[in-house]
Amino acid sequence: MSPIFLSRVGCLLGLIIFPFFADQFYIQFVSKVLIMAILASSLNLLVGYTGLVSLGHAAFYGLAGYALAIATTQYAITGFWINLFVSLTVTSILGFFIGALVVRTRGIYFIMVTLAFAQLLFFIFHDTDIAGGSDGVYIYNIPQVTFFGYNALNLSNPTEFYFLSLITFILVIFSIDRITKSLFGQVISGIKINESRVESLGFQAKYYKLTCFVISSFIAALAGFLAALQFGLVNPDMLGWHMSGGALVMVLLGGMGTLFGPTVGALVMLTLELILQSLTNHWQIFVGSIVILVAIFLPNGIVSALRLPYK
Amino acid sequence: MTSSTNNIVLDIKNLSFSFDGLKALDNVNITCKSNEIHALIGPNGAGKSTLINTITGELIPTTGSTKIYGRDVQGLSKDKIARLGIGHVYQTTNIFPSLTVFENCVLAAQSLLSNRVNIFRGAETYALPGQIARESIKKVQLVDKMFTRADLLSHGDQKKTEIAMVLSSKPKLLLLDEPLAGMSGAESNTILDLINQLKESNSILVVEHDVNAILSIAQKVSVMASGRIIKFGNPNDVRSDPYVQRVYLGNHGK
Repeated sequence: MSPIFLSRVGCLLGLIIFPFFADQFYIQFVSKVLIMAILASSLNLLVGYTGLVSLGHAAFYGLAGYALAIATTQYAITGFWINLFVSLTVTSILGFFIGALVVRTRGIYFIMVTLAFAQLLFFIFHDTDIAGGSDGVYIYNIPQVTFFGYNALNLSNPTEFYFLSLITFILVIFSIDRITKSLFGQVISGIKINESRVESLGFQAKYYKLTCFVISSFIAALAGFLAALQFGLVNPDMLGWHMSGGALVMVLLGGMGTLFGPTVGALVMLTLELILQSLTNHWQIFVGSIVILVAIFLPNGIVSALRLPYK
Repeated sequence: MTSSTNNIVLDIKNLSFSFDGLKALDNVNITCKSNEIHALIGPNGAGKSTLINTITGELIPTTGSTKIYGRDVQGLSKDKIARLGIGHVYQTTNIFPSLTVFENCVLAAQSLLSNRVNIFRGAETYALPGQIARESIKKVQLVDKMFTRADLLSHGDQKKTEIAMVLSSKPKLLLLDEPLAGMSGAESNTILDLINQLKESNSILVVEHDVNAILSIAQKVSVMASGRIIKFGNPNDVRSDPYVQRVYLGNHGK
């Protein structure tokens, strides 16, 4: 058995037994890290594997949260699975339409157009009464996970919510690993290196980019759905460029185009925030400095320092 | 009529292309048949690469028609034209530099599989692309560098990589834009032999500055200057043409 495999199994075992020993605060913290890792990993599919830098990925994260909030509060839809389905479907459809438009652009234009769409969505929720305007919406009735009529998980319980996040995280990482190693994955990595060559070999690059965009928005929606469940609250900040930028920094910090880079990035970013916030009000200066130092000394991200072939 | 049109792969009629008021291609006519090497020669700036790029959809001609197997390809996207069976070896080497020679070829061979692939099935579970890639690499004699990253190779080997990659997509019409550029004498001979063999299964349009080399294997030659075809014929006709000797062979021929 390879050391990589063993270290992965070790991490997984650690994640499984951790909530039985940890304080509730840390259980919630790690849940949040897992959710942000899912969001950053979804963005990594675009940025790291396909070479499409999106600055509007929070649109999907936020919309999935809003879909849950609106469905539970305005339409009294209470089931977990139906809410999950609605949230993912609505977000993926939006991902398809935004994707169909943005894959026609490249480079800096792709960045600007994705940012513009996300800001559009931000202002729709911020400036209208659809869902509480700038205050957002509280989700009072958190749906409970049921399996064939049995109450399987009580999501108001931090430990049970933690396991829902962990299972989702594992499924996402497993899927991304499969996707990037498939023929589809080979072609999107070709697009990242030399898109014009991919086209002149007969591949429909736009089709591949659009598919990747929709998959990525679908996974971002999983993160947004979980985040809304965890906090019991959605607000326009979930859709803002701050959130998109944060996810992008996690990808770059951890190592783009690597399977676990975004997860490491999410862990490091949120841990830095947690520690520095308790020390100073100007914590962002220090987080920023650390990000700059990593960018200079580890341009391929933190995982490159581990010198493990995580690609 | 029918027997002669049946084996026409590429048929370019009255093609013109202008940019910024400059007529880069002026009323060009070219036909490529199957099992035939058609050489396109001419001085720098004659419009040879521009012509190739209008065939592949990279440039949209101003007027005229381009037919591949009788189908008008004007306005089709680059990937659609490629899927009609066009392989393009660019003048400036165009490969995936951070991939190995083998990976370059496997990716190209994947284009033969359906676009609607199972996104959860591992690429390595498809046997065909790897098999095709190995054959192509053997043809260009790059087997010993198969698992070397392409950007670490010499210029000549990168060109060979591109040829192997394009062959891996199993084209019927090969557009070779200066395939011998940057190659040593021995390497040139390998590639010339290869092009000559490929004629058995392909139609080939080849732009080349090494005129003597390419005329030794071509069946048809078109000579371009200032965007026009100034001479068309078999290699011997072209070699002996006084105008051709003056504008082109006189300067570049050995």
